[in-house]
Amino acid sequence: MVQFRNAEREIQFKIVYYGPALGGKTTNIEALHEITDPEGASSLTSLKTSEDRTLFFDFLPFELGEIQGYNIRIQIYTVPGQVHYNTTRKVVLSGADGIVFVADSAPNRLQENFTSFENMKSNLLANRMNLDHIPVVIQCNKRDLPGAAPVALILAAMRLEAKAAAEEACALNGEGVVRTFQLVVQRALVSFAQKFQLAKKGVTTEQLETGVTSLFAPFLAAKRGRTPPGAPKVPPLEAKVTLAQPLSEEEQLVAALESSTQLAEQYQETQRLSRMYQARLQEMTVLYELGSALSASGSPEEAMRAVAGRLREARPQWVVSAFVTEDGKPRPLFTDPLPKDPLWSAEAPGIGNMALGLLQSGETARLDRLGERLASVGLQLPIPLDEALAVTMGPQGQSRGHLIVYSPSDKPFVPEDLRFASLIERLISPRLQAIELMAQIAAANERLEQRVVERTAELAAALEKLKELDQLKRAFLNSVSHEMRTPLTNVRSYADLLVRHPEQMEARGAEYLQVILSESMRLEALILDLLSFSKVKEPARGEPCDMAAILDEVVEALRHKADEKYLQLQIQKEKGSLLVPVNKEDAQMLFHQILDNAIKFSPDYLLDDPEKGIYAVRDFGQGFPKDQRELLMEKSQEGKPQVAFFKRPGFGLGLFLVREVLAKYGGAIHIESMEPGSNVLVEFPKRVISEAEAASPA
Amino acid sequence: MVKVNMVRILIVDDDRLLRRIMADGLQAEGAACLEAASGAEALQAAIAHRPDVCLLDQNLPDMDGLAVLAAFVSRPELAAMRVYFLTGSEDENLVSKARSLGACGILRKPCTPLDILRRIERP
Repeated sequence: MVQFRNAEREIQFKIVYYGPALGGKTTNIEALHEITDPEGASSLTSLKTSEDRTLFFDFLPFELGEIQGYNIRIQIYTVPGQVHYNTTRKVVLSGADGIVFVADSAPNRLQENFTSFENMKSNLLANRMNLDHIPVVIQCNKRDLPGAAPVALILAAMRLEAKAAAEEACALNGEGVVRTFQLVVQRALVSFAQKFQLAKKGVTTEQLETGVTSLFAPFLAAKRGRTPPGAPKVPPLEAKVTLAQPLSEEEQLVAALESSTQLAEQYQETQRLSRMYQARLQEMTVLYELGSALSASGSPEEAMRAVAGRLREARPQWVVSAFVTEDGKPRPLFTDPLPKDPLWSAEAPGIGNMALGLLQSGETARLDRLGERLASVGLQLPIPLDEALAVTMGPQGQSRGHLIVYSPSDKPFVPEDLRFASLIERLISPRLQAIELMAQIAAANERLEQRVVERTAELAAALEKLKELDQLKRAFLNSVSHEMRTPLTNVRSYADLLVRHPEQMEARGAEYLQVILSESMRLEALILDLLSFSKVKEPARGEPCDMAAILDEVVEALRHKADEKYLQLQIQKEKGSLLVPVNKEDAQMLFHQILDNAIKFSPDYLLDDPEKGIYAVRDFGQGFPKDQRELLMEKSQEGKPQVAFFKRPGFGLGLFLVREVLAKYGGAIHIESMEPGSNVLVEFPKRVISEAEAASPA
Repeated sequence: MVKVNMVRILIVDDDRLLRRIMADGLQAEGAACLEAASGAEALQAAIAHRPDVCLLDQNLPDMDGLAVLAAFVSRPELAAMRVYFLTGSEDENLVSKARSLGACGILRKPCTPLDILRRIERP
């Protein structure tokens, strides 16, 4: 009986080879197997006794091909010819969709042909089957026997009508074997088509017959290499059964029935597993290739393209659409092979929402009756698609994107497809995470490199600063040393002179002692200057201090020095008082030093001019050597003039003190060259600057 | 009281007091002294009087001591004159530059005229 297997989309026919013992049924099947399947892809199961007699039956699965999307499978059985295996014969015959009766052409076997044919009829009846409704092809085998009985005689001996036809064959060398089989298959298909009225569905008997003929065409002319019986070229899967002791008829029957049933079941199971594993293997191959393609992809988009490409290779009927998730919303990337996603339409937001709903429904989600739904909103698809399947890329809740797979109306998704899609989901998620992690690592590396560059620059700047400080320290020490060595030299020289030449004491002693005294005072002043440094280091108190008053004091204190050089000191004020938050001691020292320097280097007279927080000291001396003025005015990075220092000794510690004071308050000094002399401008900020701020001009 | 073999020393310094003290001390020890307050004066005096020794300050109003030394060296008639820097500076660069230009040595302050004479008599 024809079996439909909807899940596998398969129709299964059963063809039984019937006939007298030793008539060549097994040989027919072996020849058929050898001719149609020389590679031995399917296996011929043969259960034989040790005497090479078919014990139960031979069994050969036969894949015919596809008709109307259904795979046609044929199972070929033989029955054992021996008289005492009738129960087996009966069982095997049940459900047959076509019968080949193999008659023996040997003239002495005519009676056996008849007996077997009659036996078949009675077995059919026992199975509630009617010979008139089952296609039967009679084959007269062993036509190559010398003295083979004429076909008409054989048929007559079987009490068949004169018009009955028979195929002639020689199964041993394969002649007529394929043709016999082709005939029975054609008749079985036609019978099936009539029974299920396939003509109404546009399948004619002619189509079926032509289909079968073309399928068999390559084998019709083929002959079998003459293989001696019992030594086939490809040894069939054999189960040799040796009957150790004769079984009773009853026992034999039971054993035969059990075995045949089990064997058939086992075979079916094996076939099912084989098909399943084949499908899995194909799936694994696709997944493996997908894995390789994924590991080569460097971005989520690349990964999606790789997946879509492989999916389309594995399931060419599918339409694959890719979306990438950006700011939590899907953005269409591409649709293969359509120009755009059929659900994602800016013109029809309702449809877009359908896609959105599908995308947001979590893991592998499925949308069926697509055509119907789309038709309800008046949208026609360029390809008739009926189902959509969303595949989420990335871990649940934080997907990086989606693939929507559409299946055409005539090939809906099968459970295997859903499994396949979920496998792809599981495969792509870790890769997408890896891609993301790698991007994060790359970004972190870049940040790290940036940090290294920044820190290197900072360190270089700090080093530069340290070098500068070191240089400053050296210059300071050099200056101090120079300043102290000169008066010391003077004191020692005159003291030494008086000791070595006491006779000069009377004439010039007083003069020498005066120098010794004044030079000691110079040394003392220097030491006081050094002590001032520690005072400058005291923190700014932030109390306002009147600059104008301080200038008055300083000028008064230095007036005698100016008088000595016949210099005139003048103060011009724009305001009566000028309050600036500078420690009084610092301001005094600053102006004292500047004025003292001006007096020291001025042969003429001096002018002092404070205005708007800027205090000017004008001297008419030789002026500042240009390189030193630049040093003093050395620009900071921000372009604000900063007090540097004098490298050149001889200017005393004064300018170091000036520098210290100005640095403490964030002030500045400007020196303008005048002809003659120079104009010194001092600038103080009018608010208190913290020490940290003062230390870094930024 | 001029000795026949007295050393003739040119003192170049813009510090008048220092020049006076050095001259007093050196003369008391028997040397003859000349004074110059600037580089230009020094060159003039050296050419006019051909002193045996020149005590040179690094910091002069018109040019620095090294420039004065270079000017001396460029004059063949001053080849016999020994030039010493008299300075309180710790600058090591000055020492090597002065040496390479042909100075005989650096006299570091504090030093008395007697110290100076001892150095220049044993060059």
